[in-house]
Amino acid sequence: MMPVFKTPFNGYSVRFSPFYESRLAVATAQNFGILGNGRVHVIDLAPTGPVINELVAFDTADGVYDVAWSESHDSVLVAAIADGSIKVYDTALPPQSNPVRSLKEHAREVHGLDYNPTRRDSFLSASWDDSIKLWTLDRPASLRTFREHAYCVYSVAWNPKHADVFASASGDCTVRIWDVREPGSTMIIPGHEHEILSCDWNKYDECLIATASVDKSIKIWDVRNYRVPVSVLNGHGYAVRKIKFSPHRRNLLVSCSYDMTVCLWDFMVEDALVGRYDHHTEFAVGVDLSVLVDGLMASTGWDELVYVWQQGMDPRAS
Amino acid sequence: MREELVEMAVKFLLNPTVGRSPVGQRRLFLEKKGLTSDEIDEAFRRVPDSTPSVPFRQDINSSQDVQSKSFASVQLQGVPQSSQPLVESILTVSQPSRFSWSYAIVSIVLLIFSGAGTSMLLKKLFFPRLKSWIRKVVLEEDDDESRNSKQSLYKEAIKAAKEAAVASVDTAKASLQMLQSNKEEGRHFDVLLRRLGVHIAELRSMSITVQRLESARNASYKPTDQYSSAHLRMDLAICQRRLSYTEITPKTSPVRWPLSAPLRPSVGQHPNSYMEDIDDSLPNPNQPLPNPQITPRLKPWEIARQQNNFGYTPEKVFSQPNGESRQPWWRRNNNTNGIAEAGNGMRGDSYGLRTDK
Repeated sequence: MMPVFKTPFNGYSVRFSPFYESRLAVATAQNFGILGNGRVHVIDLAPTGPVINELVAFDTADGVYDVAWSESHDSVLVAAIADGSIKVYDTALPPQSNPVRSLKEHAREVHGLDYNPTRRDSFLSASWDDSIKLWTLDRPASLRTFREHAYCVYSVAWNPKHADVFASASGDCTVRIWDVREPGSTMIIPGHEHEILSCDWNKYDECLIATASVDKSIKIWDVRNYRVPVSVLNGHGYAVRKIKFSPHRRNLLVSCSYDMTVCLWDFMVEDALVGRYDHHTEFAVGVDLSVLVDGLMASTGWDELVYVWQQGMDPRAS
Repeated sequence: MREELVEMAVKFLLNPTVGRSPVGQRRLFLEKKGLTSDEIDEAFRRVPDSTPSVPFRQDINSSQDVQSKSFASVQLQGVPQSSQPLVESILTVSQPSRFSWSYAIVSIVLLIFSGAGTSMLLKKLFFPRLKSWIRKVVLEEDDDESRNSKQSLYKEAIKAAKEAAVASVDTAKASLQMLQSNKEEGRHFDVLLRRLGVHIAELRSMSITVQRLESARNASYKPTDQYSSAHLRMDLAICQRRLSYTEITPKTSPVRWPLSAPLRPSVGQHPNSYMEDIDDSLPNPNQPLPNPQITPRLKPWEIARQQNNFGYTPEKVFSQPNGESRQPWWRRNNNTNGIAEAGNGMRGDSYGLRTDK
């Protein structure tokens, strides 16, 4: 009962739309993102049956590493391109009028994007040029540049409660907490001994942040006492690529890894692993939980497939 | 008795050569010389010789007893005479045999000592070296076995990196051929140069990654061994991308794929290429952003916060537009609890999850 969408290129990221329950955006890149073109797919879940239809697709000259929906405009999404630019697309316009904006400031690949869910007017970009930039849609240039990391910044995440606070995860093995009103970072968490690939805030406790690292573990930190993690989640066989806290449940967390599985965790429970999905046949690199539908989740991987399924069901059931 | 003849006979008998001949021959010779038997006897008497000439005092024409006795005496005489050289030969033989006994004893002693010395030498010098060599060889084999399991993953990764490097070399060659065969060099020269540069960068980055892997293997922190290979592709991607910038040296922007802005080339111009020239530039830089069609919704956690703050349960936020009870397939889930429960923590059984094997 769970549909599958096949992309021509290798999947990199998948995001649910905050406006439409059945809409997703998928970021893909040719040749595993190493060299080649990219494509942004906007797909719709058919209401009648387990079918996924493509609404529109946008081709890019380089691989697309991440995609994020605007929180203010229902038809606008931003895409992080491997050539260092950020493209803004409008699905309400025909494809030949797209992209509507190309924001080019990063010197290296843009690897992560996050739209501010509280203020809804700005978004952040994380790049392999060790910097993070703050943008708004109405300005062609970035508002702020945050340059402190010593290596590639893989992911950024806005705090769900404090509209000016965000966290960044970097290959220099640290997570930094920033406030856009401050010139520099307000906190540095040396969370792991290896590169940290993803970070996300807990939606119901604004002091809890989770980090996913190459060392196969996910650690939950309380920023008020960041010396010792609140919890360490082990279970993945390889590096954990992306994590996301559930928008509906306080303790639920989803992760995807190079071990080709998507795992569900409850970090307040002794045996934290509550679910494992091994439907992918290649690195699982993107996962997302729907904000609008409780329990709906999507994942994509380098096997060029996008799965959308309800938590508790088998993604491959037909 | 003629005295001169007797004296001559005496001289004759004293001759050593004559002394070696048998007595009978001496008598015959003397008789041929004309000596009488008395004169011969007298001569024999005068010669200080131990040969018993007494049996011969008898007549030659004696009886057979005398002859037998004379034969016996001759034999007896022969035996001592032959026994003398025999004794002499035994003596000479016994003297070498006496020498050989001592020689044998000395040589045996020498052998014993040399054997002892050799065995001591062997024990002290040769065997320890042999043992240590054998131990070393065995240890090397053990090390190799223990390293093999750790190295297998690296060997795979290194092999994959080498194969990819070989593949990129082949692609570089193919690109070179394309360059030579393609007449429209003006348009594609940039593209192919950059591709070659990228391939060179890939090769360099892969060699660097291989070196990193090997150095990581030697590092003291054990988890690096297992994780490095898993993050290999990301490492590869990052490394070669970072290097590609140094190779291609972009001046204004790190564009690795040229944007040929004026036209949209078709696929046919690159028959061997797997990549198309995509033009993703802005068709209208002044395109105004659309007006939002839908008002943004509150996030579930914001709703929960409001609930906690104000202590009331709002009406159901996500109502169906057409009011039907039938829900789309993505809404059908085991847990029908709504948002109201979100902020209060979850029970473990409400997940309704099934773990796939």
